Amino acid sequence: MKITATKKTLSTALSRIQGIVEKSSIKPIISNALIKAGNEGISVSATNLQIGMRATYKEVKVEKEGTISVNARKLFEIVKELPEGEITLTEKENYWIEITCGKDLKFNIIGLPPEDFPVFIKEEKKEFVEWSTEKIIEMIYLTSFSISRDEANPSINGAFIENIEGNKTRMVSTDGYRLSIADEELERNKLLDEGLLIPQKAVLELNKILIEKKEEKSLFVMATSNSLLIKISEVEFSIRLIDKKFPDYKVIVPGEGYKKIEAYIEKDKLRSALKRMSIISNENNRPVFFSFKKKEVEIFTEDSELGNVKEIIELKDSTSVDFKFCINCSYLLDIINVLEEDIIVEFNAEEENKPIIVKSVTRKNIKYIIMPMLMD
Amino acid sequence: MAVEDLKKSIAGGVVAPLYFFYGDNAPFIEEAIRLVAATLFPAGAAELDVRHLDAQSQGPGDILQAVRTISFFARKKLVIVRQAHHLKQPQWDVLAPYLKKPADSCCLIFILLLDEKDKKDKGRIEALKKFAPAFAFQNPKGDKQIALFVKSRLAHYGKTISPEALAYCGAILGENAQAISGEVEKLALYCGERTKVEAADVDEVLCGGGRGTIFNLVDAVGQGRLEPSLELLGGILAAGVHPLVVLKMIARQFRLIGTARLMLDQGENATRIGQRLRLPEFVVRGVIQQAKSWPAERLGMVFEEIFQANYLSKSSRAEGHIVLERLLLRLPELRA
Repeated sequence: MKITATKKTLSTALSRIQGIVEKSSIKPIISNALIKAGNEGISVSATNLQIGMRATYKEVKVEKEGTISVNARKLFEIVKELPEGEITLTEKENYWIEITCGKDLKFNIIGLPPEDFPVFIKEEKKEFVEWSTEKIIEMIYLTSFSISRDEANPSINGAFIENIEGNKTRMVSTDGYRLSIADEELERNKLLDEGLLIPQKAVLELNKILIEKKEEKSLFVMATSNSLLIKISEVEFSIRLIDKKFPDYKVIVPGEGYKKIEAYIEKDKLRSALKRMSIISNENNRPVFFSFKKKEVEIFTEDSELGNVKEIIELKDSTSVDFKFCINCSYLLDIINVLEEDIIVEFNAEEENKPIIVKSVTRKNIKYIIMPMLMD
Repeated sequence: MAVEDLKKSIAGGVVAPLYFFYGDNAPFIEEAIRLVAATLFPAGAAELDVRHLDAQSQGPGDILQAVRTISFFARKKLVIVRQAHHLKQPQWDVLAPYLKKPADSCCLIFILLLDEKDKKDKGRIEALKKFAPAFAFQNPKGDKQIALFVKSRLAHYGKTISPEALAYCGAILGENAQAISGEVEKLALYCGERTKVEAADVDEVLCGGGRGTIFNLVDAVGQGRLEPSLELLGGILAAGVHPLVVLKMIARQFRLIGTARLMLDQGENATRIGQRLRLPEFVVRGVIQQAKSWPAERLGMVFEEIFQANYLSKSSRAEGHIVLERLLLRLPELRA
C-alpha cells in the first residue's frame, strides 16, 4: 500500500478515532488503526470491541492499493509533529510502515498483520431508518450528563433509548440520584419497542462525531438486538449495546393523579444563586435547602467547616402551598446548564421525600427527576 | 454478635443501618453483602438503590450524599464503602454525626479487607470499630474450619463432597479463603452435572492428575510396601504436589490407622470403626487391614517420625522430597 495525503486529512482521520482505540490492551491490535487504500481513497477504522468507527476519505492519492494496521496513537503523534504538507505512508516488508514528509523526514514504524484486525461492522440486510441529526444531538445533550459512570453497575452505565406512545422516541439516563428524560419525534424503529441501552462511552464518542457532522440533516440507524450501526455522511459508527435491563424508570416518574405544587423560577437568577451555594456545598456534597413560601424561595446551605450562605429569589408566580426540600444543588445546576429557558419545579404536596420534578416552561418533551436528600 | 448470628439475623429480615465488615475472608464478606442485598431487594431490582463507593477515591461527601439521598424504589437503600481504611480521622469527623445517628432509610456497610500486613495494624481496625457494629470475617484455620468452608462454598454450586475428597482438599488448599474459593469453583465446574465431588476429582483438578494418586501412596505406605511407595511419591511430586501436602496426607492416614488400631484393641468391630471414621466402607476395610499390621506402640514411633519430618521440612534447609523419601524408608522398619 502506498498513499499520499495532506497532514490535515490524516490528522482529521486519526483524531476521530483517538477516543475509541485502547491505550493499552492485552490485544495490541485493538490499539491499532486499520487503513485500507482502494480506488476511491482510504478508509480508516478503529475499534475497542465495544465501539467501532470507520470513515472514508476520498481526498487521498492512492499509488498502490492495500491495507495496513498501525498503532493509532503513535501514528497520530507522528502526524501532529510533521510539518504542514503532504505525507506518504508506504507499506514495507514484515508489516513495517514508512512515513515520509518531504525529502528529508522519514519515520519507520512497525505495524501488525491487518488480517488480525477484528471485524466490527457487519453488513446486514436490514433496513436503515432515517433520524434527524439535530434531534439526536439534542437528546444526547439533554440527558447524557446524568448517565452513571459506575461501570460496576452496567444497567445504568448507558443511555436508554426506546419507542413510546405518540410515535415518539425517548432517551433516558440515570445515575441513581437523578433521572433525565428527553422525547423526540423520530422515524420508528421496531427494535426500539423493547428499548436499547447504549454504553456511556459510546454516547460520548457518537456525540463528538454528530457535533462535527451537525450540518448533515440526517443520520441513518440500523439496530439489531445487540448492536447499533449509525451512518452519517462518510462515517460509520458501530456500538455493542449493554446486555442488561435498564431499570423500570416509569415507576419513578409521578403520573398526573397526585396533588402537586409548582414553582416557576427564572433560570438565570437560580443559576447565579446555585453557583454561590456550590462554593459552600461542593466541598462535602452538602445538601442545599429550598424553602418555598408564596412568592419567594429561600435557598440555604452550610458546611460546619466552611460556613453558610442564604439567598432569597423571587418567583414568577406564588406557590399555592409552602414547601421545602433539600438536594445536591449540582444536579439542579446540571439541568439549568442544558436548558435555555426558565424552569418549573414540581413537588408532591401530600408526601415528603418524594421525587422533585424539574421541567422546562416551554418544552413539554423534557423532564428531570432529582431524588431529595434527607433533611438534617 | 458472631458472623453466623449476623447472617441469621439478616436472613430473618433484620438489617441494621450500619455495619463494619472486616477480615481476610473476602468470599464470606461478599456473601454477607449479597445476603443484605437479597433481604433489602427481594424482587432483585437493585440497580438504582445500591451504591458502591471506594474510600480510596471517594470521600465523606460522596458517602453522605449516597446515604442521605432518598431511594428511587426500595424502602431502604444499600451503600457499600470499600477500602474503608483510606478514610482518615478528619474524614471520620465529617461522617461522625451521621454514624452516631444513621438513617433508617439506608444500610451503610464499611468494608476493610485485610492482608497479612494489615493484620498487624490493629489500630486501624479499632478506629473503625468505634463507628459501626463490627464483624470479623476470618480465613478458616485448621482442617475442621477449612473443611466447613470448602463444604459451604461447594454448596453454592449445589455440590457435596466425600469425606476423602474433603480431607484431600484440607491438605492441599491451605487457609486463604479467596484461594480456596477459586479452587472450589474449578472443582465444581469440573464435576459438571455430578453433584458429589470425589477424591479423584480433587486429584485431577487440584493436583494435575499426577502419575499416581496420593491415596494410592498412603495406602502403599500403610501397607508397608516400600518400592511402590517411592515410585508413587516420585510421580506425585513430579506432578507439582507440594511435599507438605503429601506429608499431611500420610499423617492423616496414620491417624486413621491409629484410631482403627485402638478400636480393634478395644474389641470393636468393623461397623463401629466405620461409624467412627465416617469414611466409605471400602476405605474403612483398607484402613482396618493396615491397622492390623501396626501395633499401637509402633504407631507412637511413626508419629514421632512424621513430627520430625514436618519439623525438618519447615525449619531446615532439607529439601522436601528428601525428607519424604527418608520417612518412607524409615516407616517399614517400624512396622511389625
